[in-house]
Amino acid sequence: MSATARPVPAQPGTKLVSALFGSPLNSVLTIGSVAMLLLTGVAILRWAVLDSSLLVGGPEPCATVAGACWSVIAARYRLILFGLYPYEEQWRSVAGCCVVLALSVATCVPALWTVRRLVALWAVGFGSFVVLMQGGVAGLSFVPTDRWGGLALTLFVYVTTIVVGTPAAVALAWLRRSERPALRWLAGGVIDGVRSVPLVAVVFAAAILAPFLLPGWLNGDKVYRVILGFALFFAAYEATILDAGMQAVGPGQREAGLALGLPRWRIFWFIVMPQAFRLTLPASVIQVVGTFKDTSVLAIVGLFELMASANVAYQTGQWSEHYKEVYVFVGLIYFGFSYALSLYGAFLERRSRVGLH
Amino acid sequence: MVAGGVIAGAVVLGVAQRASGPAAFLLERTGWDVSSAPLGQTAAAPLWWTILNAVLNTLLASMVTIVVTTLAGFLTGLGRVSANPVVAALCRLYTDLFRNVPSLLQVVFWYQVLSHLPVERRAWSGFGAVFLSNRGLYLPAPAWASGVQLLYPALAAGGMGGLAWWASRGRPYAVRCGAVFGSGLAGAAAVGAAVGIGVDLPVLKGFSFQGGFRLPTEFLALVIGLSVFYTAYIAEVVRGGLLSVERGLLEAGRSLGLREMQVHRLVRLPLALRTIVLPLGSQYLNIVKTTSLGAAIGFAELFGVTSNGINMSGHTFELLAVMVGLYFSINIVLASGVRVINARAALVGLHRPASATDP
Repeated sequence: MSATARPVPAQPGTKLVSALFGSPLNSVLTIGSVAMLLLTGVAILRWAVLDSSLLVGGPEPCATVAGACWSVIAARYRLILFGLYPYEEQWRSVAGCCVVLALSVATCVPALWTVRRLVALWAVGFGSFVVLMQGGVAGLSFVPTDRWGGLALTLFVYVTTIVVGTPAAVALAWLRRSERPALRWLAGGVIDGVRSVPLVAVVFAAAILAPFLLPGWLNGDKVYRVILGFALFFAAYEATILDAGMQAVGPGQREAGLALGLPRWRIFWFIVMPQAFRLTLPASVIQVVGTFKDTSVLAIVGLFELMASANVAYQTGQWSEHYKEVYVFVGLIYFGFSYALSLYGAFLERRSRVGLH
Repeated sequence: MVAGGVIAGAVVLGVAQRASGPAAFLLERTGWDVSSAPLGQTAAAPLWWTILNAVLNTLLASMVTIVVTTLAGFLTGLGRVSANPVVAALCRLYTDLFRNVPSLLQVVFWYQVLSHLPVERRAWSGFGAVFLSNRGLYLPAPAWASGVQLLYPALAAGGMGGLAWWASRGRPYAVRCGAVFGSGLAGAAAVGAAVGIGVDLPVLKGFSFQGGFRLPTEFLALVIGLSVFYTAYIAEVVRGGLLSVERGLLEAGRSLGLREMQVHRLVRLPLALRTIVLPLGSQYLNIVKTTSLGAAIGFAELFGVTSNGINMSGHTFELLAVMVGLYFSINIVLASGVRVINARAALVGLHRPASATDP
């Protein structure tokens, strides 16, 4: 056998060095990026920590610091997190938020993914949230929904929207593929119409039109009208995603169901929908994450959720110059939820790929 | 498709008018003013004029944001798939950070930042002609004495553009478009200066600037906030497209002796465009719809003006129909444009749109 030359193993690190400095452009980019990262990082560190009020004690830190004055958060965090909720009852708001967070985390556990367990979990969780926040029973004082605010209201609107919107999305997707053209056109018209209009417009229209369209006893507080519009918006986008998923499930599946003699709704519920759901999981997760960020938009229609309470927090009193600290605080809250949800979505995606080829 | 969109919008408007009697409500004086209007606005203007200004505001903000985010998004997307780990990490940091913070928060943040700039008397100035203050950005504007003066630069632009088109034949399409645009602009500027079209510089008189062209703070805040947010989204779309190009094709390019930049430019990017155009189009549609956030900072765009009109005049259903019809028309026109571009870039037969407004 002729001796073939063995490839010389590369020196450790040469690949990295060539990637960083291999060509002139690469070197410029590397140096430029590192410089930008360092400058920005140092500036943020200086503003947020070194020059800020964290390292300065005393009663009036904000007057002397050049950087961030975090006292605005210490003074206003109750307003930001709980809105106008009565001071003595704010522990109920905290408990409500914890319930919703536990509910969301529990929903993420695959072991609980049967319809009966999920419905029971959400009924208990949602019910206890409403009881805690609204009160009126079990010795808790009654707090009307227009006093709910801040993070608690954001979580409530978000969770209710998903709960109401997902069945609506499934229903819209079902109608979109109905055998009767009238139903198909109606569903198509609703979906396309809602999708071509901004979210604020849909929520605004729902808030205005709901009193005209719904019977009197359904005319709840503003929160419920807003949730209705928001859920409709979410349902339209989710229905499009599910529709694409249903289209991707091959006709063979439907034909197999028909050959077995299953009625159409069973084929839909037991054969097509689970596969469509799994196929479109990445897009659905993106939609759900986006909906959490979109709750901020409800501040425009006058709902006192996290964004609106952040605006009010610095615009009153002596804090009008300290908008940066408030927005960074609220931005971190949104970022935390959003990033956690998208990481979970990536986990779901990896997990669902195991079942497919 | 474009005609269909316009007709659809007109039909909705027509139905709305017929449903409530004559369209006289659109001719009523509004009695209220808006913060910025491209065609000039007073409180005595009729409602349809205000709405027209609002539509122009929406389109203007959308177009500027679309141009900025496309450029920045492509750069960031290319950076994310770069072999250079520092650049890739930086771009990843950017997209992960700014995708997960709501757009309204970013817009309102930038509005506060821009509102806290110095007042006009102490505005920041660049080259003595551009001024940035808490009332907005002042730019120099062309000033003409009579309408006839505009004719000559227009002719020059057309002539130079045609010449450039002929001279650049055989070059790639993008190079030709760039040459036409550049030479047309240069010709118009040269002839305009020769004919006597002056430059109207903003000049500080008393407490504020006179003359020049002002980009209001609300417009700047909306555009900056949305651009930062949507650059992250478009970077992800571009990244998805770049990753969809098979590795074998890139290796084939390298084995032909192409340098890394040439492989990117000649192989990866053109093939990636097939996967990029449709999601990019839906991001453009999202940008147009998200300009409605301008209502939160006082920018006179379509949603803010119509909702204000509803509150002030009480013509709820009609104005809602007008707003929905106008957004629908803009949506359909833009989606059609995206579909035309996609037809040029896409593989034939691979895509069937799910619905009318899905590009």
